[in-house]
Amino acid sequence: MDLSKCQCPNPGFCDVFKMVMGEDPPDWKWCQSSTAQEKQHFYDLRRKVKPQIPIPERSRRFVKISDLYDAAIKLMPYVSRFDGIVGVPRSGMLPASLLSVLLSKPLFSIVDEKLEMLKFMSDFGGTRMNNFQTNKDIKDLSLVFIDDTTHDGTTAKKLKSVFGENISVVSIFSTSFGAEHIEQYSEILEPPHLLEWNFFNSGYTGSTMFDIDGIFCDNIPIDVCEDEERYTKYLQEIIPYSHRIPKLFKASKLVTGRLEKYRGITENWLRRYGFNYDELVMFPTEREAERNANHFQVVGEYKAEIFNSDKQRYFVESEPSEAKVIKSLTSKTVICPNEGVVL
Amino acid sequence: MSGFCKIFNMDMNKKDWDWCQTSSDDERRSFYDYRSGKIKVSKKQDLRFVTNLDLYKAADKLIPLLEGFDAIAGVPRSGMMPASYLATLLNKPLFSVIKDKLEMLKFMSDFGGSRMGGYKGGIKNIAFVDDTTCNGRTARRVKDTFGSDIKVFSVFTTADGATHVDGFGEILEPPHILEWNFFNSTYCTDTMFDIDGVFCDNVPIDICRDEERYIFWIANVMPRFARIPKLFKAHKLVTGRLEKYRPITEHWLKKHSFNYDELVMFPNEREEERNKNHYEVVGKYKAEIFNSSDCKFFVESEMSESKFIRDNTKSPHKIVICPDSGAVL
Repeated sequence: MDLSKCQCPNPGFCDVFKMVMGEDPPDWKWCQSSTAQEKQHFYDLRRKVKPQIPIPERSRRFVKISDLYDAAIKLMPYVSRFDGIVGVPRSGMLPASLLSVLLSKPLFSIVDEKLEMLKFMSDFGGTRMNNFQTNKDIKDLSLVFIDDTTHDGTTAKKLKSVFGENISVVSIFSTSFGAEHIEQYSEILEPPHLLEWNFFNSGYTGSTMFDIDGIFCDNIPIDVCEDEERYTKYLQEIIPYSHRIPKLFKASKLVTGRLEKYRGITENWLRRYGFNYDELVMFPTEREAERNANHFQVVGEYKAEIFNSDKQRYFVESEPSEAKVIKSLTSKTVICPNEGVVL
Repeated sequence: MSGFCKIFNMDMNKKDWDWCQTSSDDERRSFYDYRSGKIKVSKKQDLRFVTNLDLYKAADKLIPLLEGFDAIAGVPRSGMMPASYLATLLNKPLFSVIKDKLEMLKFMSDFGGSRMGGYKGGIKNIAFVDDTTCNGRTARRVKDTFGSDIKVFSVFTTADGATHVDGFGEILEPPHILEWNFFNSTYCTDTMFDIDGVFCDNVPIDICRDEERYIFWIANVMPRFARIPKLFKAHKLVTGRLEKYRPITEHWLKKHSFNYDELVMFPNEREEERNKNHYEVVGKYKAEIFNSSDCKFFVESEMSESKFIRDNTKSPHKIVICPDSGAVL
């Protein structure tokens, strides 16, 4: 095939590469400016991609915290018929605390299989709850148990075995097979459950590769990148996004476009902030010039190669354009958490 | 004596001066840090309606301050909103208060839910988190109960309250008009509320024109549960609905346990006048009722009607709130 002349006149589906060529690399504009050799290279890589097994469309998303609250609010008509709200520790407390405050109902939680009402400034909660009135005894209040997500229903089953088969358990998101274990849900969300508030410290991290810059810390400004001394200092001093540091579960691989020669600095930094990970894969130092000429495409291809060479199912990437390059070369799932996009 | 203080770079009035005389070195240091910008303070802002989502966004600003703590405790109840959010994001055990006892919330594992099964580490220092601080009463009580070295953080605080907490997300001056709290706060007793569009959906126009369907609608419409005043008595409900629908309206309010003092409806005999120019006529009517009382707030669903109420309200201290658009006029 002669790839030297192959150039679509505008963005759209390309018969040669068998993919939609849009505005970002490795798409339409990239194709216009790349050499036959570069195109041949990309063509060879594309041919290795196995057919996709798609995630169900409605679950094909990175669920943001704001989605959790929006979905929780839809449950108000159901929840409002109860006298009090129980949050299932820990993350069930997110929707439970919101609903209890919005509906002015006492908030309960669980301490060692015992139900406890949370209260401090008054008998039913904070200062405002001084005005809460009920003619029922506290133990007679009707309660609803709230969790954020239900997967196979383990938590719901345990709740019922501890607190009685008749209790009402509500989950904001539930898989279709978990739904039979609960009384009510707001939305069906099929697995995988890719949740902003939990992904980085969930069972998924073991089967995930992570980009570093833009995921665990701010992207490095271009002018800093161009000055070795400032760059080295920057890598040492940058403060990570503490809510994304994998701690509870071991992340499989961190795969970065940073050059191999910065391994010492990077590993020190990861250790200092308590990253729990298996392996750090960096970009070969000798390919620096090639990388700098076309960062997204070259680093994207490199990451795709690492991704395809192992069994991990997810790749978390900060740059949407780079994510597209990776996705174009793999049948596995690529996640852009900053945009909430799952490719 | 009181006057300009070069150290704090501000005018110290009598109260400030007294504070400085009686405060400890640490307290003065903490206030100095706050004044000198080490603790970041957002610029003085206009009155605003703070939404639930604003709370979580502002809670993000506490993340760097909580780095060194082993666990997060939420102050019941509304402190649990940011506390549960931050504990989950930062993978720290979540505590709360039961009477005067601090307890870790846990069920599927020793430190929380099933994910926390992998958590390792002891718990030495716990950060308390609350949603808002006004005069600092709760923060002081937390320190009285759990020890003065306990650190308390608040997502929003007044500048006055900031001296009682160890860190905050944003400065928010009173009045604190908060989506998660306004309808069940002490402000209720000082507020007049519109009904349609505030406590339930607006009646669709085609239904308004058909008396039979209209009556069915207002008798059966589902209320907006989060907004029903329950804890505090709402001062007045002031509606453009006609007086002749009073029994239906009162029955609906009773069915959904609205706690209010008085229902003011629009005179039947002015129906035609109202229908010709709804916003202006009803807006002026509401303004008239608003002017005749010493109520401070009016909650109105329609932006255009809010403007008529605002324009026809004499006192500049009165405030019109349009919660769906988040506007405060």
